[in-house]
Amino acid sequence: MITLHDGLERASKFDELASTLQLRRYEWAFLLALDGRTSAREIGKSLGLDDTTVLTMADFFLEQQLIVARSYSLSEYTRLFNVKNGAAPTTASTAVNGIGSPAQTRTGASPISFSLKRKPAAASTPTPTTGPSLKLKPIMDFVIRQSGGGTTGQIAAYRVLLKVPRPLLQAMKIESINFIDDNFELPNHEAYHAIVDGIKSVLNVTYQAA
Amino acid sequence: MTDKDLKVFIDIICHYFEKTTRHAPELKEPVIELNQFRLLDYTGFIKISGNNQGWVYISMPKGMLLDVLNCMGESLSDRSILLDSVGEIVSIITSNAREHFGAQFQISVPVTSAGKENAPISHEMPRFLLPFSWREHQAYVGIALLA
Repeated sequence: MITLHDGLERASKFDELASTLQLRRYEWAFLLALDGRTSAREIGKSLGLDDTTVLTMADFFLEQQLIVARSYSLSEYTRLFNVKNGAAPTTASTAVNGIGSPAQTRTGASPISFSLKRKPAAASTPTPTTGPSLKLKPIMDFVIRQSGGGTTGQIAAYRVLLKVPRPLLQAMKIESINFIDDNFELPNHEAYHAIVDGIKSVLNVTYQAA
Repeated sequence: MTDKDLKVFIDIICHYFEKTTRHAPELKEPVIELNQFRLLDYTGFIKISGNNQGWVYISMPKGMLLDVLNCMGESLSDRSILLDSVGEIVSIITSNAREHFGAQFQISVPVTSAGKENAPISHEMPRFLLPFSWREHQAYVGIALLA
C-alpha cells in the first residue's frame, strides 16, 4: 500500500510496460514526475490533483507494477532530506515531503507519527473534478456511437464488457447494467482501464473521455 | 459473428413473431446481465460459432408460448409438448438464420430448457438481454458469448 508520504519511483519494467499503455494526460504527468524523493502528495499538489486521486492513481500504478515506493538507508535518508542522525523532524509532513527544504528538527529522538491514513472509501472513489470519471454511461455511449448506434452498438458494448476479466466483473457486485442508467459508476480504476482496453481490443479505437 | 450479424439474428426473431402470429414484438431497452441470471418458463437456445462462440436464445413465459401456439392453431399445455414447441420455434428461427447467413456460420441444433433446468449457459457468462413485449407478455432475446 502506498501513502501520500511515500517517495515513489518508476519500476525497472516501466519502459517496457509503458509502451503498451493508454493513460490520461495527468496520469503520464504524475508518472514522469516521480523522482524517488518527492512525496506522492507533493507531486500531486504540483499537478493540481487532490489527495484521493493521487492515492487511487498510485495504488493502480503499483498494482500494474509501474511504480515502487522508495525505501532509504539511514545515510540516504539523512543526506537526501537534510536530517541529522539522532534528530527527528517535528512533524510527519516535514519528514516525508522531502522536496529539498531543510527539515525542521528538534533535539532528542522521538518516534515519527504518521497520522494520515487512507479512508477505505476514499481509496476507490476519486474526486470527479480531477480523476477520470468512473461513470459507465459515457464510456458505453462512446462504444455505441463508434459501432453505429442502436442495438448493434449495444451488442458491441456487451462485447467490450466481455473483455473485462471475470473476477473484476464479479467484484463489481452488480446484477445488471442498464444502458440508460446515468448514475452507475465503476468501482475502481482497474475496472475503468480494463474497459478502455476492451474498447481497444473490440473496436480498435482508443477511448478518450470527454 | 459480428455485432451486425447478431443484430440480424434479433431481426430474424422479431420477423418470425410478426409473420407467424401477425403481432410484432416491441423491443425494450437492453441490459447486460452479470451476476443475475433470468430465464423464463420456456427457453430455446441456438448455439453459434465462428469468431464469436456462444448462444442466442429466446426465453418466454408459459402464457406467451400458449398464445403463440394458439395463433398457429395449436392448443397444447402439456409441459413436454410445450418444451418441444419452443424447440420447434427456435428450429424455424435457426433455419431462417441459416438461410440468411449461408454456410459461413455453423448453427447447431437448438437446445430447450424449462426454467433453468438443462440450460446450456450459466450465470457466469455475461449476457446481453433484450426484453420485448409481445401482446401482453414480456419475453427476452438473449445473447451469451464466450469471452
